[in-house]
Amino acid sequence: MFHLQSLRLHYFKNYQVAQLNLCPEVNCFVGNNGAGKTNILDAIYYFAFTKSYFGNNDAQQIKQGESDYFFIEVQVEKGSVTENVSIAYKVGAKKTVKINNNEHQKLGDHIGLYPLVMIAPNDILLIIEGSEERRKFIDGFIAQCDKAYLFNLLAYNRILDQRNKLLKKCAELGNTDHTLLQTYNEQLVQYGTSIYQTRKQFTSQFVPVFQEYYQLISGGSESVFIDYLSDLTAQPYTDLLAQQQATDLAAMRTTKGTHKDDWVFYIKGQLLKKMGSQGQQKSFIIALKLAQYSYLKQQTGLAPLLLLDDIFEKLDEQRLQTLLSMIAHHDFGQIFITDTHIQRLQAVFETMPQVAVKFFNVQLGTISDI
Amino acid sequence: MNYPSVLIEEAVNELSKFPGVGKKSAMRMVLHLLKQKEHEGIKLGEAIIKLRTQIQYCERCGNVSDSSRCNICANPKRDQQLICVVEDLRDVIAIENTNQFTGTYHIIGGLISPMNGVGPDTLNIASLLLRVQQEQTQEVIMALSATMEGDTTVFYISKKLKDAGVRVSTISRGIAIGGELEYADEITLGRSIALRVPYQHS
Repeated sequence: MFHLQSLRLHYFKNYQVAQLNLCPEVNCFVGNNGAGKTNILDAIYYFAFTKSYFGNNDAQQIKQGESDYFFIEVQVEKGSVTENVSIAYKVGAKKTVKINNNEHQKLGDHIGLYPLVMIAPNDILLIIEGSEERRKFIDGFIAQCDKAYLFNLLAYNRILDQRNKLLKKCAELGNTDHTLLQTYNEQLVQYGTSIYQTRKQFTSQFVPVFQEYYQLISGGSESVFIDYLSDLTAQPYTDLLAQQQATDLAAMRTTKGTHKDDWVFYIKGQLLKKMGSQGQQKSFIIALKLAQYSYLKQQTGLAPLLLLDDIFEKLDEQRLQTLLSMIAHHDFGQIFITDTHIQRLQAVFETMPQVAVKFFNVQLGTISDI
Repeated sequence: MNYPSVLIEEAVNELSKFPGVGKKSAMRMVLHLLKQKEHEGIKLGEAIIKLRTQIQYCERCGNVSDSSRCNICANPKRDQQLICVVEDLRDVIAIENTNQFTGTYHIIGGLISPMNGVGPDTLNIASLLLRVQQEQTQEVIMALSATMEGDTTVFYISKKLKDAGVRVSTISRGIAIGGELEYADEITLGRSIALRVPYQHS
């Protein structure tokens, strides 16, 4: 088990200085829209992944016009030891991540140390957007518990960039260096095949967990399925690259491979994107995230932090009740919730006195205990 | 920065082109030169001119040299049938300092990276292939960086040498001597286990 004891922010998003002492169980941030509730969650997300949940670049995380740096400091209680994690970023300088004042040599070493799952309104993009969103989600997910996968992914992308550049050069010169192309092919095959196998194995382990959570959330018996689609399913990557050689040279990029993989979501045998109702899509997302939570917990042996952004606004009564009863049963580790209505939240938690909860009032860049 | 003299400005601009040297360091160097006796500065200038005009590169391996063959290639005590492929002069110096290597070198001058406009044709790879063929080399040792580009280059050269009847090896990668396992990164450690070597009594 681990939980955050305190959080300190300097010049992060709309906070000049903020200092919070956190509750080990449930923390609720209440305030109007635009007050900065989600920024608190983003700071916690940043602490775990050293980047923003919303894909902003680091300079955009700084309080605009008042500083050229931001700073996040978190006290983490992990079993009987306390760890001090600090992340500092200054415009034009390297981002530093320190645990107990020891700097990480590589930022990649930090990811996965503090597992975290965030559920936010724009998660719906996972369903409606293109395959890149789903690859990003799954890759980030697997990388949290498999370092070798992250390495293979980075290596693959690097080789892919080099190969595409070579294909472009071949077209410009009208002359193909077949030995070099073959060299890149073999390197792509090495990393790509390994990525394919990890994704395939991961999907087969993850889908049953997901299906269980979907039944729980929807309370129904609709069948759901996630299918992993890859060019590598039909034939080995080596053959695929050989077969696509002429096409690749003409297109000046690599047209097939694991960088085109996708996951397709089905409900009752039909495409969720097209045929699923809004409610079904929401249930799908929540089930996906809760299954992620359970999978990470099993893989890492730690109960991940759970961040719920504006969840009461977006969920209907039935799904909400399921989620709340899981909270009441202590299925999760430390939880962070944002909402606009204090009464609503207080009423919910009055029904579960066994759960420790703390409320924070968020008003334009200041946070106070309630 | 404003300079009191065009001459100083010119010198600062030239010096600040060095890696790791900014305008301020360059200014310090210029002032230092002016403070010293005139002949000190002239000596430096002449050394630089001589360096640029008289330096030669070994026609065989590409190492810097005072004549057409470098000291290593001209040394009969070195195993001329053994070639160690390195990226640049710094690697030659590093390997020479180990006192473990008695063969010769071949400096290819970079690593293949189309993203940075470096292809096999811009490196001294063709001369290596020719050399292996002509000299009936026994073994080529690849001593290139353990990066993606290093891997690609090793891969490429070994492909080109496949039919040359020469043994191709690469330097081993793994746990640093004196390093503790718990501090090794997971990728290095994982690969060290996968590519473990039979234990030998030395």
